Amino acid sequence: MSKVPDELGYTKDHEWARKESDGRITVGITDFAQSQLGDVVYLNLPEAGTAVTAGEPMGEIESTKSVSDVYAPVSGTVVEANSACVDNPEVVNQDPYGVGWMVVIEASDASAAGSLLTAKQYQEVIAETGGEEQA
Amino acid sequence: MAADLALLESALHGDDRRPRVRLYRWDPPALSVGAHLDVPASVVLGCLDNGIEVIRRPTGGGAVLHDRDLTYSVVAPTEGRSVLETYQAVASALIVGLKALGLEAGTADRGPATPALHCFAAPTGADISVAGRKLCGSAQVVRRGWFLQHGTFPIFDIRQKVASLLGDAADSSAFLREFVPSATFETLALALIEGFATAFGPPAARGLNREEKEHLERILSVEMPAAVADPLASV
Repeated sequence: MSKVPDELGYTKDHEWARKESDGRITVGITDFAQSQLGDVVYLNLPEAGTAVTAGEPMGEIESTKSVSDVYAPVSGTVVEANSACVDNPEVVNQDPYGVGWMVVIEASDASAAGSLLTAKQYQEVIAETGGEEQA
Repeated sequence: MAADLALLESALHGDDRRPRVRLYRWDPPALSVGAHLDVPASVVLGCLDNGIEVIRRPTGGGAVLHDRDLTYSVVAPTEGRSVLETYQAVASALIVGLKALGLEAGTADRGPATPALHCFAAPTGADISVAGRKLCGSAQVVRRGWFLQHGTFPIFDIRQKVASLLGDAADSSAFLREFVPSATFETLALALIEGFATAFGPPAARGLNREEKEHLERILSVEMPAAVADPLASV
């Protein structure tokens, strides 16, 4: 069963987002996503200063000779990309909600995180994709 | 391969959820390079010196020499399946097709996660093997619930040529004529069409439709990232 922490927001494209105390949004892909992808071998993330749009691709991830897009959960500007994650992509599999975080975004709309899916709603997304039974 | 990407783009924008399959060969021969693979400039120059084009694939994985081989592409919805599950769905069609040629094929054992320069040197767990040796390498790109998968069957023994071009030791991968000496592109294509028909339903043969051609024209008008930024800059 994939981990879906209650305190995070989610997208239907399997990204997670956490609003930090300074208002910025830390983003990664979910435990379910990494399990669907298999061993991650390459990450291409946007550099700091890049403008991203909610729901649009902001990076790429390669696993098992398969290239997938990583989507921005909120619109705004990337203020930090996790270079440790780029250098060691396997951490996305090992710790997707921790060391495997991908970028920090300064959201253009401070309330943007509020429109993300809750953990319960995201579990329903997983169930609808046929991936797993609901908890 | 631009046409394959056009089929994917068109599928993403349309409501026809049937799989699309293409089978083709290359003239002149080409080295296709995975979406994120860095190829040494010496490899690119070696290919160009030998009349081999070097192109960038939208799919992942390593480098593949296309020389009298058969290349397939499949565009299909993921339907919530994992990457490995979609590989296995395509593999099941390929295995049925190879059976029509009298071959007992299976999926290759999973190899190391580390990407290799030469695609056939790294089994993924969903590649096709015969007698324990890799006969078909595959790679994918996944976008918004659809995947495009490429795969290649070497028909002739090009292993020494690959080793010479990629600066690799000759690998132990297989080629079709080893098992079916009379095999041609045409006999393999007919067998694979049978396999895909079994897995995906009866085919409706057609060329690219108007919308797909428009996507192809747009893709061809955008310069794809080169295999290396400037092969001459580092020699």
